[in-house]
Amino acid sequence: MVPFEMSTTPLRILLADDHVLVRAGIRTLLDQLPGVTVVAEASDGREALQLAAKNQPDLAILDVAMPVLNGLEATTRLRQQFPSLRVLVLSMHANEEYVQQAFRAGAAGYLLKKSAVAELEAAIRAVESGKTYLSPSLVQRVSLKPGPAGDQTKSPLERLTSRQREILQMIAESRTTKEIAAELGVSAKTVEFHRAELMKRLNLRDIPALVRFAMQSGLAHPEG
Amino acid sequence: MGKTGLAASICYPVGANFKFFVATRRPAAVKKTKQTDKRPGKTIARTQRPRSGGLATGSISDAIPAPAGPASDDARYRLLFESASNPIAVFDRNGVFLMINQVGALNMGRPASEIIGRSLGDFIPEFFEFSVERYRRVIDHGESLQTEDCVPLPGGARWFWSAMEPVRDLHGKVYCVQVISYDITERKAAQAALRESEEQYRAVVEDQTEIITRFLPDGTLTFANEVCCRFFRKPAAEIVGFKWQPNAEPEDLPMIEAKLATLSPANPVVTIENRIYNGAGELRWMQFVNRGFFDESGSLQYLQSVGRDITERKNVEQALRDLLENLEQRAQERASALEASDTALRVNVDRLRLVEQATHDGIWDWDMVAGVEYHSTRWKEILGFGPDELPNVPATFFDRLHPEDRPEVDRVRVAHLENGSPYEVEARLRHKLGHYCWILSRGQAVRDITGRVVRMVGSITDISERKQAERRIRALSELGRKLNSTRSHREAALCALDVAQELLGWDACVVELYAPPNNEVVSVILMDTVNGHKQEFPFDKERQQSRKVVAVPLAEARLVLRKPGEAAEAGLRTFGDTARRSTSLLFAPICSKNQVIGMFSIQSYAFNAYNESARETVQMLADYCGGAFERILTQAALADSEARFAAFMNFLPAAAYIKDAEGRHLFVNRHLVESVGLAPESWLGRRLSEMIPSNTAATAELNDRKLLASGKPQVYEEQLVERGKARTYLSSKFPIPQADGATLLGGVSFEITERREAEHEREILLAQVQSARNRLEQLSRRLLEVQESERRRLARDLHDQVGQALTAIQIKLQTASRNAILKNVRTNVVASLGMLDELVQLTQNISLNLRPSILDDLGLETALRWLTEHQVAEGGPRGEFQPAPLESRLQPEIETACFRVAQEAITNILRHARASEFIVSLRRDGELLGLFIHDDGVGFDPQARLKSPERFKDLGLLGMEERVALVGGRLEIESSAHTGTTVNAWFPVKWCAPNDGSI
Repeated sequence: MVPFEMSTTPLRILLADDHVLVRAGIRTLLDQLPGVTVVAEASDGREALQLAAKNQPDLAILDVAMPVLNGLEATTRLRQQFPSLRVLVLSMHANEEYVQQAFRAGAAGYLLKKSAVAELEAAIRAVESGKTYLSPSLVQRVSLKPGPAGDQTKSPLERLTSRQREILQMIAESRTTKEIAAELGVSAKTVEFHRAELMKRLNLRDIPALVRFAMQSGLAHPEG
Repeated sequence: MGKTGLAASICYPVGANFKFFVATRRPAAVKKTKQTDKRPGKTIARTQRPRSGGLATGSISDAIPAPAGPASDDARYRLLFESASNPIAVFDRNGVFLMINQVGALNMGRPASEIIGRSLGDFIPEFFEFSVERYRRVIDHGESLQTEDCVPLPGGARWFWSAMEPVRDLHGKVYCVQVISYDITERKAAQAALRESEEQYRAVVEDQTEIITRFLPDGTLTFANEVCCRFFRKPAAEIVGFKWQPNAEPEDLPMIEAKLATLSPANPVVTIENRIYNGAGELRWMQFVNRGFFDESGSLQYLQSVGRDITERKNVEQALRDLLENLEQRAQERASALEASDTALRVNVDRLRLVEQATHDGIWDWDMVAGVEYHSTRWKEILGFGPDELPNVPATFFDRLHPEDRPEVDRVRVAHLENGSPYEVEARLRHKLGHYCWILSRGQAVRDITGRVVRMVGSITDISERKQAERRIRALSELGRKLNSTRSHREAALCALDVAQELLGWDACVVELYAPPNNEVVSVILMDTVNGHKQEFPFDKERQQSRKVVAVPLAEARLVLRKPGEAAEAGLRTFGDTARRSTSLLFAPICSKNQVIGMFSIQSYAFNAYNESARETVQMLADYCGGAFERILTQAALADSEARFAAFMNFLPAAAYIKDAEGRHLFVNRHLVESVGLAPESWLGRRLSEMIPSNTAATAELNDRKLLASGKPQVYEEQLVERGKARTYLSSKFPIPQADGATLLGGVSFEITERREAEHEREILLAQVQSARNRLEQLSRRLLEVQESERRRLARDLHDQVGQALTAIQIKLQTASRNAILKNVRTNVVASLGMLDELVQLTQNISLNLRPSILDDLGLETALRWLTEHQVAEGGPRGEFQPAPLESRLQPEIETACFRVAQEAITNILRHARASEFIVSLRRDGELLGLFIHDDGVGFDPQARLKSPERFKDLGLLGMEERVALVGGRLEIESSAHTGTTVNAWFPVKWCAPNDGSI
C-alpha cells in the first residue's frame, strides 16, 4: 500500500447512497483515509446534485441504484454540470452493462461494493490523479465492445452486428446457406433467419439486392 | 097490274047487267107493241086465244031460274049449274065441296065425283084457310061477298072474281055458300094493259109537246096551237101573222129552206130537225114534220108543221156521239197501249228467259186474275222437280212455303202491292226430297189500266249455299266465342263437333292429337251412334296400336285410307257400333304453328253425305280446334306459371305486395294478409295508411314515394306499429315499370322483429361481454402490473434491504478483518465474508430473476443484451443480440412486456428447443418495435401447445400472449422442425416521459 501523501487540501468527497448502513460503512472507511474529507452525504440522486452544487466537491462517490434519480443519471448530470468533478460509481452489480453505462455516463471509476473495503483507497487515488479505475474482478468481464447500435449516425452497414456483416459478405460471395452454416458453425435455420433479418433491416427485397448492397458497401468484390 | 085507279072506274055491278068490256086473255106472255101512231086515245093490244071461260052475258038470275018446285027447280038449277060456263061450287062452312059443276071440276083437274065431299084444302091448300074464313062469314052472317082472288089452280094460277051467296034451306037458315067464279085473268091482264095504255095516253096527252102550226110558203104563220103559244110564251095573236124564221137559229135556216124546197106533191112530207129559240130565249132542238099542201097545179099553198122538242133527245144524241167518239178514242188509245204493252211484254218475256238463263234463277209469273202461276224450268229444278212435274198454280209456291216463313212473305207482298215497297223476301221452300231450301224471291206487280193489280212476276234465287254459308259463319263465330272459354282439349273438340253436327251432321267422329315427344297418338274423342244415341268410346291404349306419326309440315300432310274390303292394320280396332259402317268420311288435319298436331274427322252412314263445301267446313273446324288447342296449352302453361307464381307468393314466408303510384295495393300475398289479419279483399285498392292507421305507416308510404321518384330499388328497414305492437321489417322494394308508362311498386318485407330483438339482446350481451372482457383485461393487466410491481418490490427489497444489509456487513467484516489480529478471528471473518459473498450473490440472483434491475436502470436494449448473453448456461446454445436504434426509453410496461417475452422465449429455448444457438433481434418497423427470437431447435406446434391440456400448467405461452396483448401488441410464433422457431412480437412504440422525476 502506498502511503498516502498529505496534500495541501484534502480531497472533498460527496457520498451518495440510499442504503443507510452501507453509506455509514463507506463513510467510516473514508474517514479513515488521510487527505480525504466527506463534505456531503446524499441518499438519492437529486439530493446528490443539490449537494454537489452547494458543496463543490472534487469527487462524487455514487451508488448506482438510487431512488428518484439513479446513480448513472446523476453521473451524467454531474459530469455535465461540474466537468471537473470526478465520479466514482459504487455498485453491487457486477454486470458489464452497468460498467459500460457508468463509463459512458462519464464515470471515472466503477467499484463493487463488496470490494469496497479493499479497493476504495486505490480507487480514490486513481481517480484523483485522473486515471480510471475498474475493480479488478470486473476487468475480465467487461470487454470494450463497440457502441450500441442506437447511434443513428452510423451507416446501415455499421449498424449491423459483426455476425450479420459476416453472413452478408458470404451471401454476396454466392455461398449457399449450407456452406455459410458450416463455415460459421451455426445451423442453416440460423443462417436463414440472419438473411431474413438482413433484408428487413436493410430494406431490401431479394437476395440479388442484398448482393448489390454488399458490393456497393465494399463488403464483397465482384467475382470474376 | 099497273095503276088501279083507272080500272076502278070501270066497275062490274053484281047482280045487274054488265058487260065484259075486254075479252079475256092469257095472263102470261102479253106482248106489247111499239106505238107508232101518235093519235091519242086508242090503245091497241094484241090478244090471244082465251083459255077458259068466255063471255057471259045477261044476269045470273036470268041464267038461273028461281027454285019453283023441288024437282024441277032443282033440275033446272042443276041444268043451269052444270051448263054454266063459269065454275060454280057449293061449300059448307068447313070448306068441303057439296057441289061443283063441270067447269069447276075441269079447273080442278078432277072429275066432280072425286071432288064432292072433299075439302078445298085437299086441292088448293094455300087458298084454303082464306076461303074457309070467307065461307063462314057468308054462312054465319048470311051476307054476300064478292072477291077477286088469284087462285093457284093445279093448271096454273088464275084470277077469279067470285060471288059468294048464302044458300038457305027451307027453314031459312043458311047452310052452305054458293060460289060462282068468273075467270078474270085475261081481264085483269087487259086491265093492266089498258091501264098502261092509258097511262101512256095520258103521258101523251098531258105531256103534249107538239107544236102544230100552219104557215105560208114564205113563212108567215096562219095558225098556231096552244102548245105553240106556250112554247113561245106569246098569245096566238102575236104569233099568227108573223114569220117563223126569226125564231129559228140562223145557222139552220139555209138547211131548213133547202129541205122545205124539196116538198112536192109526190113528196109532200119532209121532216126537219132544227133549232128554235123559245119564249124564254132558250135554244131548243125541234123536229118538225112538215106536210105541204098543194093545189091542182102542184104549187104549194101552205104547209102544216107538227113539231116537238127534241132537245133532250138531241142532247142525248150528242152526248152519245161524244161518248162514242170518246170511247172510240179511248179504244184507240187502249188498243195502241195494249199493243205497246204487248210488245213490251214480249220483250220482257224474252228478257226473262235470258235472265233466267243467265242468273240461274227460277222465274215465276202469277196471273192473279186467272189464278194461274207459271214456273220456269229452273224454278222447278231448284226444288228438285222436273219441268213437267208441278202444276201451274200459285199453290205450287204457297203450299211448298215453310209455315214459319208464310207471314213474312205475305207481309212483304201486301206492302209491295199497297205502297210499292220492293218485293224481296227470303223464305224456305220444300224440296222434292222433303227438306227445305232457302230461296230469295223477288218480284214486281203488274197493274191494268185502272190500276188494279192483275199480275206479279218475279224470280227465285237458290240461296241455300249462301244461307248455308251464313249459318256456317254464324256457327263458327259462335264456336270461336265458345272455344275461348274451353279449358281442355276434350271440351274444345266437343264444341267443334257440336257445330259439325249442326252444319253437316255426323254419325261418328274421331279427334286425335299427336303427343310429343315422339308423336304418339292420343285420342281426344271417339264417338259413334249406337241405337240412335251418340256415345263416347274410351281410347284403349293397349288394344289400339299407337301409331307413331311424324309431325310433318302442313304442305306434306297426307291421308291414307283403307279401300273397301281391305283389312285394318294389325292391332288397329274399330270402335262403336261395328254393325254399321261409316260410308262418308271427312278428315281434316289439326294444325298449330304450321305443323300437323292432330286429326279431326266426322263420318256419316249415308252415301255422299258431304260435298266440297262440307270439307271446307270441317277444315275450318279443325283450324278452330287447332287454335283452341294452342290456346289451351298456352293457357295451361300460363296457368301453371300462374299457379307456380301463386304458390310461390303464398308460401313465401314474407309479405309480398304490389302497389300503384298512389300506394294503393294491387296485389297482396297470403303472408301479408295473415300477419296483419285483415281480409284480402279489403287490401285491394287501399293504402297502407288506410289499413294500419299509424305514423309508421305514413312514414313507410313516404319512403315508397321517394323510392318511386328515384326509380332505384332499395333495401331498408322499416318499422310498423300495428295493433299496438311495433314490428321491424327488412324490406326490399323496387319500381316495376309498366308498358303503359305507369310505374308500380313491388316489395318483399321480411319481418325481423325477433331478429332485431335478438340482435339487440346480443348487442347488450356483447356489450356486457365486452365490458366483462374489458374488466378482465383490466384485471389481467392489473394482475401483471401487480405481479411486476410485487416482483419489483420484492427484488428491490431483496436488493436494497437484504443485499445492502449484507454488503454493510461485508464492509464491516472486511474492516474488522483488516483490523483483526488474532488469526483464528481473521479466519472466521474471512470465512464469514466468503459466506456473505455467496449470500449476496444469491440475493442478487434472486433479485435479478425476479426483476432485473438492469431493465429499470439501463433500459430494454441493455437488459435484452444482458439476457441474451449472460443468462445462458454452460453447454447451452449460444445467444446473439441484434439491437435496434431507440432514441430513448420506452414506457415501462412496454419494456417490461418485451423483456418478459424474451425471457420466456429464451427459457423455452433452453428447456425444450435443443438448439445450438439463438438470436434475439430488435427491429424498428415504423410505429412498431419488433422483437424476434429465433432458435434453430426442433420447433413445436404453438397451436397444439396453446390448446393442450397442459397449457395451464405452463403459463409461459399464455402469459406471453397476454402480456403482448395487454400493451397493445401482437404475438406470432412460427415454428417447424424445418425452420426452427421464431417468436415474433410487435409492440407499439410509446416513449417514456422525458422526465423521470429528475430536476
